[in-house]
Amino acid sequence: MIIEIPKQAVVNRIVPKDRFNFDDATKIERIRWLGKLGPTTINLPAKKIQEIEIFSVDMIDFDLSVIKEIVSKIPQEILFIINDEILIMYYQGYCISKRVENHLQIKGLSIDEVRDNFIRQLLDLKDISKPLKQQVANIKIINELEFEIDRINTQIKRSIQTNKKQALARERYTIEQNLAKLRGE
Amino acid sequence: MSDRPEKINLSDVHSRQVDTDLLNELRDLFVKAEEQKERYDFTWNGKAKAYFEAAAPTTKTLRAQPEESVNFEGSENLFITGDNLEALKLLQESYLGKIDMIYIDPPYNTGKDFVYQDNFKKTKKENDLSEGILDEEGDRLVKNEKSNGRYHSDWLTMIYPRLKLARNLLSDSGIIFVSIDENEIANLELLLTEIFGENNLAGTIVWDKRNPKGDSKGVSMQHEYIVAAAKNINIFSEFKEFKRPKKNAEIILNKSKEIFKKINDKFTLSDANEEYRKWINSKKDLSGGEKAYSKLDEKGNVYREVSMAAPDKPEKRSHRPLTHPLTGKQTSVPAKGWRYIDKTMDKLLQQDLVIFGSDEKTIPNQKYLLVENMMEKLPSLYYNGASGSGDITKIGFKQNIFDNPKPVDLIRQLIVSTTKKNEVILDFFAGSGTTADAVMQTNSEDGGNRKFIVATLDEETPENSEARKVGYSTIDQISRERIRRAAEKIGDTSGFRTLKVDSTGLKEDVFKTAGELDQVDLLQDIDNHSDNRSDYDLLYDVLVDGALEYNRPITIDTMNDEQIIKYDYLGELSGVVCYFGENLTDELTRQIAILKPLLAVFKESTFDKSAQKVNVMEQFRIISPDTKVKVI
Repeated sequence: MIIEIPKQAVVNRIVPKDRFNFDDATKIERIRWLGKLGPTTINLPAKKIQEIEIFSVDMIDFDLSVIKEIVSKIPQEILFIINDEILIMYYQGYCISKRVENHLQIKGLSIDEVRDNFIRQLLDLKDISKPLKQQVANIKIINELEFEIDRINTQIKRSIQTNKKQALARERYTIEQNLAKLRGE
Repeated sequence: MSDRPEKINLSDVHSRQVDTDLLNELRDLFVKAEEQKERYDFTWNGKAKAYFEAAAPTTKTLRAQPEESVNFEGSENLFITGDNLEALKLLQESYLGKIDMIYIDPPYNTGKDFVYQDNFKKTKKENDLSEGILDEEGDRLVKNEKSNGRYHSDWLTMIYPRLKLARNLLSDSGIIFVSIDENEIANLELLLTEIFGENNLAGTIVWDKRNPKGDSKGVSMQHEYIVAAAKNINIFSEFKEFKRPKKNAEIILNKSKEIFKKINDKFTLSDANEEYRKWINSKKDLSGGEKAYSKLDEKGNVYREVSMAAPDKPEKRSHRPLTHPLTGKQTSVPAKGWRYIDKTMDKLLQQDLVIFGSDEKTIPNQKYLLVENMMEKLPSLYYNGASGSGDITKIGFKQNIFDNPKPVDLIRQLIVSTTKKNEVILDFFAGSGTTADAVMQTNSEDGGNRKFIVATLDEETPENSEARKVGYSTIDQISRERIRRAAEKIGDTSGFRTLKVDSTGLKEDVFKTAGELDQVDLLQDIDNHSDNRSDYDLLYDVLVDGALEYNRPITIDTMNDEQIIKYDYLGELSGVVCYFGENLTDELTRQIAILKPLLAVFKESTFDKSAQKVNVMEQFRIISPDTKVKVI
């Protein structure tokens, strides 16, 4: 298993597919509710988040719309384990996923921190001193800048005039410097 | 009185003669009116020629002059010597829409220019000489040259193409300032209206020189003008504030703090106000706008009272009465309502920026805090009794080395109010180099990184002039020395890169038809570059050709023990990389290709056989397909 769920927290129940409105339920093999991390099961206090559910979804061809559908029907925070190899969590409207090599750890002094640390592990963030929201926002900006650099590079290749190309390269250079500053922090 | 007409003696032929001149003139007017050719326009003899001159392509190129530069490789400032019309044409493509501010100080057309005689004056002189207007010593035979029919036309023909090209260089939020005096102000304003459009004229600043000229037949002139025109006034006003810092604001704030500190049981706020008001009235060098800040509030803020009455459009204004804080009654409201809408009025009340009178009958005013109004719009009057001579004597020049240099302070104010910290400023009538000096001073004051491009003619200094005596044979030498000294004085290390407008780098007789070629001379004709070109000259040929900017950093690297030149290289897919040595190995080619520059430049003479050239092209095609390989 990717994550070791404490004995008290294990639920291990199959969730019937007809509880959701899937476009095509046949491509999903099984949805299993593996565990429930809450004050009653792992003895940690809850602040804003009452409990975290752990779901495993097995499907031959991965389809994000399945995850979206489940998220929209269940109000709690959910950690998805897809086909025993991919972890997915939703955070502030963003879908964060990772193919996991080693165990995901349950760390933190409250349910909220456990959730935050899950996200950090998915994003490979080692630093736990800064607020997660800021870290995620940073990552978002970095991703956008990287995307922008790629876009400029294609544009450079596509333009014909050398001076236009150089002007684009200059624009890219400014972004690269911003990026270096963000990464340095 | 009799109303009988005077008797005409019909036998007198002369009295019945037609005035042919008047008749012809009238006929022309009627013909024009009939053909509807009569219209409002501004034209002069030579306008079409000037128009074509602006449109004609240049055959010139730029030559690098590292020995005349300061920090040639690293500097992002340019000093261009040569005819400014050619310089403007060479800048056209590379700096199209990239210049944020232009200041020029063209010849005023007084006919008295001494050290700085520009090209147009020269050709005029030559013309005059050939037409016999000048004698052999070059003295004018025709005394009153203003009565000369070409007087204004010549000046307009000179300035028209230059202003036209300058407009192309301005960015959308860019602005140009032109210094001028009474001789050509009228024509200049008309010309700028034609080139920039009437709406884009941004006003004329009058520089009061505090010292009337004594040589006038009319009123004694004591001022000059600086005419401003924006590329697009709407975009300009959107991005630029056109404001300068209030000169004495800091002094006022310091004094007010000093007085406010004295407040105690015996010395009340009104005593403090009294003392402060006396002080501000005693200061003669404060402007009216500054003196208006004559009050201190209970927090120690300096403020002025401004009416909140609406000037117009009462239907759009707030008419709600305010509540007087002491009497609790509703205050009077101005006839056309308040200047603002209800929401803004609430905000002002909340921020304690409304001043109530002693009771509700007085209409309340608005409180303007000095700390929030440290900047002021650039006014149309500029007072400065000093010319720029003071600026240049300060850095060790004799006073009369330049004729009429402009004060650094004037241009500094123009720069501060119209440019952001990293913008580019151009002056193509650089003369004494005041603009460059002002750019450096502005940067040192606000920590900016503005860059300058200045161009001036490398005109010879007249014999027995002050400049010649000190050892400067051309004007541009003095300008550069001035920039050097000014930079040293304020510790500016940005330097400048000197470029010279010169004939193209190719040999002039390289284009030969088959009949002109001799087998014996064939080998000489292979290398079509004039041999005296330096590596940097070759680089600049490429930059001119590719319309790349000229003021970007150059770095010299060593690869495989060979020297390569990198120009504006910012990582893959950028910049120019040149190798002009003789030992181009496969390994070196590969290393250059790995850099993936936009342009890789080699010299024709580097290759012994064409097979080598093909080999290099092929290597680039495989390693860096996006690089353009140039062999020159």
